[in-house]
Amino acid sequence: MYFVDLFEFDSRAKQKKIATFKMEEGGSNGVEVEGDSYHPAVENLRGEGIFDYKNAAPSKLYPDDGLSFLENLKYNFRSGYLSASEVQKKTVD
Amino acid sequence: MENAFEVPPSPQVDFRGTLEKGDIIETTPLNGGAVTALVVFKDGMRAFFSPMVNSLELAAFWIDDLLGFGLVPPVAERSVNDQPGLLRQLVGGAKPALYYKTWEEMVQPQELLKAAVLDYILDSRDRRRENFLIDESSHKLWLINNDYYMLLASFNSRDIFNTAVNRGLTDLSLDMLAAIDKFYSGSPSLLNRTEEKETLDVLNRARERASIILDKKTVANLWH
Repeated sequence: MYFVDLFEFDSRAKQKKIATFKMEEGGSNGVEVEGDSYHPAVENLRGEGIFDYKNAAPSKLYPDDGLSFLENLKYNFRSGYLSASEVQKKTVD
Repeated sequence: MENAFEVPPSPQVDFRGTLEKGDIIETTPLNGGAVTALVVFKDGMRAFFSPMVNSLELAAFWIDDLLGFGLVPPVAERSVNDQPGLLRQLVGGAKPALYYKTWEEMVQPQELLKAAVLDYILDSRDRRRENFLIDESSHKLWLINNDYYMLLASFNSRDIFNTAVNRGLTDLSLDMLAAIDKFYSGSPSLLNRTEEKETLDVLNRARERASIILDKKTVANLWH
């Protein structure tokens, strides 16, 4: 399974995890969200998508775009106020 | 509406001086790809650290500073724990605009227009709601993430500029024109601060775009 964690900087100046975006390896269902799926940062992604930063292309990516979407989350959320991790891999037994 | 909010004057504190030379008392690792640590200074100021030096972000700060708009949080090159990188002042109390359904109602109209002007001068391409902050208490905007993706990539997101135009905030006051003229006159001196071609291109482009605004005296119809 591939996953990306999304963090926000809260009012107490602490980093807090908002959600995890995950995708099964070889899966065809796109990216699923675990956590606060109603958080504005998460809701905004579904509606507006994100740019393809990795390829510097103006096309938009959405959760259905799978690994490309995951890989670009860290560029979309690149300030300290909202930060996305690198894509990580977790082996599921 | 124009006087609905007063943006309080900022006290004269040398934030950039603190970023560059202030005593660091604490460094806390952060999760994330681009920003890796939170730095706390002796005077209480806090900053985000990125382990890469991006002179484009410095250029955006220089341009804003010369305009006198106060829209870009101070940034400075500095090594933290022997790692070279960039420090960006953390704006306490401010949140990314995407936290608000109608962010434009939180800010003073002239602040919105200034931000639209700065985004035009910078030729910002990724000004999505993740990439600017709203401070509800002071009704201010802050423009962040002014990096390669904002200033040079082939994107086309201009949320602030489009919002200003849609709200009819397009004609520039004499004060604002004077500020742009001051930037236009002083901007050649900024070229001495860097040798990086991309940054020099951004600085030269900013001067050209300031000239266009001075000629038209409005931001209407500048971006189609």
